[in-house]
Amino acid sequence: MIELNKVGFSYNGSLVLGGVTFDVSEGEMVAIVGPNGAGKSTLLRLVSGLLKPKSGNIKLTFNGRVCQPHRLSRKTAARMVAMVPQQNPRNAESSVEELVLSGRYSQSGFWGYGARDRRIVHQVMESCGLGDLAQRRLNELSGGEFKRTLLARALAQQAPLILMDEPTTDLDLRYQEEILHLVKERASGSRCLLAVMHDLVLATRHFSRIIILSDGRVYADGAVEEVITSENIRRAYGLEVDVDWHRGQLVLIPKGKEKK
Amino acid sequence: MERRREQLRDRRKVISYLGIILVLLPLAVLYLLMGPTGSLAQGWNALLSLLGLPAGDYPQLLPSILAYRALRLGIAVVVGFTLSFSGAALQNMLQNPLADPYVLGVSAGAGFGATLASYLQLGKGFWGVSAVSVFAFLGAMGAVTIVYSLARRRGNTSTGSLIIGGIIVSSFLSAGIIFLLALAPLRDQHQVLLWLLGDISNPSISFPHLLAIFLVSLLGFFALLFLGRELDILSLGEEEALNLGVDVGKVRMAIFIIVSLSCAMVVAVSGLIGFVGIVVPHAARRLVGSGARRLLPLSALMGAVIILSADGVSRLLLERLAIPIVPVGVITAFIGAPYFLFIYFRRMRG
Amino acid sequence: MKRNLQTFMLAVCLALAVACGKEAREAERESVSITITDDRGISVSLQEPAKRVVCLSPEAGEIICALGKQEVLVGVVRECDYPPQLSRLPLVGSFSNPSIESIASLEPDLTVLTGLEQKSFGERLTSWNIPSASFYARSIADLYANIDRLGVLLGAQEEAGSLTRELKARFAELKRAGEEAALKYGRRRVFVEISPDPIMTVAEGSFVHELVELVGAVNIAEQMPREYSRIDPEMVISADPQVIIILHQMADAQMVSARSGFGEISAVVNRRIITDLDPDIILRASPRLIDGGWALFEAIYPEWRDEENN
Repeated sequence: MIELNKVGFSYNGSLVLGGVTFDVSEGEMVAIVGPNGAGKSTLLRLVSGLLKPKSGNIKLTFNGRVCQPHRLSRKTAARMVAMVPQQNPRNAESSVEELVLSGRYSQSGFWGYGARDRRIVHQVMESCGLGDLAQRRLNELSGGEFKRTLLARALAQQAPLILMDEPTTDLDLRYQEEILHLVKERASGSRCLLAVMHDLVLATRHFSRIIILSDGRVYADGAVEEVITSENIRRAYGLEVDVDWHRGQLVLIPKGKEKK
Repeated sequence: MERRREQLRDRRKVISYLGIILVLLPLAVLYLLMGPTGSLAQGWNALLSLLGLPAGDYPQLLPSILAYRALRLGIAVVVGFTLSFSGAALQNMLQNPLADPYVLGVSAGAGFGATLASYLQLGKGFWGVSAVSVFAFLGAMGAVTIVYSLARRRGNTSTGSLIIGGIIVSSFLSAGIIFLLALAPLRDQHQVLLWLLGDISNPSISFPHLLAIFLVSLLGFFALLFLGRELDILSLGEEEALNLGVDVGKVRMAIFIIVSLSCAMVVAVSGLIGFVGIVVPHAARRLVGSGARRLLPLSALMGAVIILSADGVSRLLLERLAIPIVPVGVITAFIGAPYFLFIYFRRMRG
Repeated sequence: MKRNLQTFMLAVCLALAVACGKEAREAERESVSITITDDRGISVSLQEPAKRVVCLSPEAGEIICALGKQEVLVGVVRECDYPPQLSRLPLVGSFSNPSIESIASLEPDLTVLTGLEQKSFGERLTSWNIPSASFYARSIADLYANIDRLGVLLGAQEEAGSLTRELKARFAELKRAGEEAALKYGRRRVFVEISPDPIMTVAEGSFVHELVELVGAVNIAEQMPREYSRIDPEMVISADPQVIIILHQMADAQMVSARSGFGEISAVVNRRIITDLDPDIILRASPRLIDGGWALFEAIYPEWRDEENN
């Protein structure tokens, strides 16, 4: 599980995050939403250990070990936390299999990737529907296929915590749904999942717990029905909306924009 | 369809490796046997006698000449080998296909050291190695140390910091070189100029030295191969590498030290032979991709072939035409520049 | 009768006038009669022998002093070190880099320079209207010509004449010794090294080469394209010189023998690597060149001196 306790971070003197406190238990899948510049990506970096909190602390408890992520060696951290990044410059000469294999680095032995590593890579690629694309070059993939590859890599790391930074950016409708379905299928179980989502509605469709981050603070934290209210949206996003439910899905209608 | 493409790619890789070895060996033998002195047949006989085998006729001093050529051959191979695998590793580490071993300050440092030694007229040298070589080596190591320290002071050793550090140090040292050249008499300027161009016609070291340099370089090569996985992950970007578990700082430092040391040694002997560190890895990448464990060996072999060929051209063709000796660095420039032009036009079409 | 006397007097006066005029003209011609053509093909003329001379060429400096005209020197370059007193004169820079301002401030009648890297400097002197003369010797005959021409410019023709006569005699003597030695011991193959890195030697067109031939030896680098040119070590090895003359301070005999492939060269095997010759008396076309010649000769044919003594 993840515990954040009054975590604060500033960059070049300006406060990016302040007093962020929440917990995520094993098996939970949480979406973090909020307006741009709220500090969402910074939060992920703090949890993965790339940054050290300026105030407060972060504790990760997995497999009986408790630790602060920034204190870990990179290899140990990678065994605990897997990241699916937002952007990734594509290396034209690499193949899908090679990229997914690099996810095994933290788990593999001293001398190189072994048979077990390759086996795991094949399993993961199959489960993500990449079986036929193993040797395809990265720059020949569609956006959806590429995101699936990144997800496969994170899964190959076999880490108990998966972080996702805006996994649906630049994907068209079909692939957005596809990737989130895949995530829920594969990442469930004893894993924790923390996903930064910029599409609020999409988040509510796939995640049961939402954290709204605004101005560097946790604005709201809880189940979708509790958190997504006109009041919260107004204060966090500065937009007046009506919140409605239609066919079991959340709908947000900006006020004053009704079509006559 | 997929399989077919894969098969073609694999075959290209195998052909590349085989091809380069098949080219290197006969090239080396030809280099050894051909020259302004003695015919091929005589050369062959001299070689046989050097190896203790029964041989035919040859001019008396031909074995000595072969010994001289062998040293020059050895230097060409070691230089080409080292500059190329170093360039390949750096291009991965700095995520820049146009990086070369000189960008971190090796060339400016070595050039300054060599110019200083020439200016101070320290001809006699130390332990059988010329003063120019010793100073060049020290200058190179000094420069890269400063570059690295500058990057660390900036807070990180990211590619940006290293490159900026390299530019700063190179600017300073280049100014220093020009300053010393202005003070020096013309004859010394000539000597330094040749060194700056890259020249192996006048070996300033002996076989044992060359062997030592080769062993260190080879060790560095294998160390880089061992770090092949890390190198590949580094090319994905710093943050991703960190997320995947690579200790970026340590790996960068290791690569930096290995490349600097090997190149400093090699450059101290041969002067600043240019283009090879960029062009060879670039070409090799087109053949076997950028996976470090495939790219580095091929680059190394190709580099040896290129320098050997360039020096061979310099020796045979030009000496036969009585053109004053053209340094190797000039020939590599003639190869490198058109290669870039070729890539440029390819890009435009494709 | 009076008229005849007048005419006669007029005629005499006229004749005298013409005669005086003629003398005057001759006197005038004599005062611009100091003219020589220097090695650039430029005609250098002076009204009278030069009294203030700046010397940019060490060998010309030696010649000027040998002509007994040391007192006219007002400025030299750093490399003018023989005779030693020259070093005490005001400096106008170095051989490769003379300072035009320093030279101008000394207001010389004449600036003496040489070829090689000083060629373009001569043009600057001309554009500054500083009179200059360039002397660059390509042969021993050029040395005599240089002495003669400098003698003219300094009003020391007699001294020049006797100096060249003496040198010619001494060179003839050296030549005879060279021919004798060549006959007796065979013409020895010699490699002259003037720089180690890159290896440079002398070839046809250099007076040093002529000197080597004069003392009865063979310069293995005769055919090289320029009079001072680089040479590939392989060519040195294959020529198998019997004597190696090192004319620089940058390597000793041990370093030369250690060069790759040099181990079997006759000169190395027989330990005939000469490093103790004074380069200045061999590489300068000056009156000391004859001393350099003898030093060279005795280095190449040491037996000759031993035999002479016995």
